[in-house]
Amino acid sequence: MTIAVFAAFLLQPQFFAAPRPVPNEVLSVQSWLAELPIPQNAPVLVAFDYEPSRAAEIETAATPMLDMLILFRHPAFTFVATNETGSMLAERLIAQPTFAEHFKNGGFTYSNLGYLPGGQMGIRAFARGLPGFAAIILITDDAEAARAWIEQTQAIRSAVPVPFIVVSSAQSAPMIEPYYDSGQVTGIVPGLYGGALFEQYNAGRPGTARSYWPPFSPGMLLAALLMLGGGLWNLALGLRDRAAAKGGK
Amino acid sequence: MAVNLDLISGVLSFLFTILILSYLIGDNPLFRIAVYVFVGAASGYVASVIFWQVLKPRLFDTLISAVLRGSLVEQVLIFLPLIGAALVILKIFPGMTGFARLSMAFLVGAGAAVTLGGALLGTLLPQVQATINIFDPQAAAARNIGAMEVLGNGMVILVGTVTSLAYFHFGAQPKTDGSVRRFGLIEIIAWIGRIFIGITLGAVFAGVYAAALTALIERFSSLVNFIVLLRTTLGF
Repeated sequence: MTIAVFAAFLLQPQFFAAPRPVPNEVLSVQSWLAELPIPQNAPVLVAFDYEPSRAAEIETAATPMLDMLILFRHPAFTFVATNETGSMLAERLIAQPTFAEHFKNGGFTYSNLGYLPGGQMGIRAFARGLPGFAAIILITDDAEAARAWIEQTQAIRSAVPVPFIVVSSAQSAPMIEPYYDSGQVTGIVPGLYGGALFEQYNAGRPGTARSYWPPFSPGMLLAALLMLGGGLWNLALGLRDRAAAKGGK
Repeated sequence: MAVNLDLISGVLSFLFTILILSYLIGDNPLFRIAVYVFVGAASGYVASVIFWQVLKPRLFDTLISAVLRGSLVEQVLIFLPLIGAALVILKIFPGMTGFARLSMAFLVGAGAAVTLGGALLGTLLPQVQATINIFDPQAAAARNIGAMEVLGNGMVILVGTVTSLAYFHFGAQPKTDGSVRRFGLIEIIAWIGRIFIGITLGAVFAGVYAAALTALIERFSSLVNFIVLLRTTLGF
């Protein structure tokens, strides 16, 4: 399977079209970006809470959305990290060519507040300053971190509504979905799928998700076929053994 | 001589990706070297972040500032976290672990209160309300969801929530034959709940696999980019 994925990456077959159906949680983010009820140069908080091992997926999901936000509103970002590696990953994300180009042209400004210690207590204390932001974007690979941010900022956001977007890994998105259904989260951009949808909406920029999609689709399909085939094979063996046992009796 | 940082980071990235991928042929010294280097670098980085972004600005700098220029109240207040930290450090001495309990009691008490308050106001109440309001056509219309979709989604979510909660109802009574079973109706509802929990776990597994697959593709991309960079730099 690894070889098949590598071959698909090199050959970039176009058998698998880019994703089309846009789920409601992604549509909500796209609608928010289209309407964008925030002023030019508005302060936007971006919270980072993901592991370096998940950087590939998270950056692919976050980049097109942030790129659009920068193009439309030239925001003043404030970065904060709730895990130790988050502030370094924030710098890594913003150093990408897509953002470096905007930064050079004065498309946005940012300040990195670094690591916010204290877990849920730290977020609770930090949340007092949230009404000063036009929007909050949480970039995370961990459903527990998303839950902590949603729970600890809920009281403040109930009093002063602030749009809350979550960019998550595909792994944690199903756990964050109920918070979207309850209206506590404005929208979710889930993993590579969300990134690929946003790239289409963002005139194909920066193109990373588009180049990952051709090997990703057959990789997922192969895994599904392997599990289905393995399950059916086991079922057939089980039925054969049972029949043999009955015959023996 | 100009140092090509892209090339150096590319070489390191290439090397460590190969070392880690060598685990595919089994546990080997090259893989272990990569893991040890990673653990060491990560530990050093975390220690440095804790010192420069937590201890120095939030404890030492504040402490010095309070001692030099602060009022008596500020000086007393700033010494409290220092004392708390010192008590936790005492844990390393076997005979003095009891002192650490004072700090731990504060941390556990305050942490539990913050977590409980957040869970109640941020998850339990809003989620219960959302489940109750799932059939509200006005709320659905505001989010561009049709009436039939509301009905379908609402039924699935309501049945899924109730049956999954029933699955975690483990109250049971002993039967005359000595076996312990749940009440019949609860047993049926819990069985349906198991199906929903199974589907949820399946969705989570698909997410885990999708995340891992994306990481693998990114590493392939990194390797290919490195080879292209090497070709460009060395001109072959």
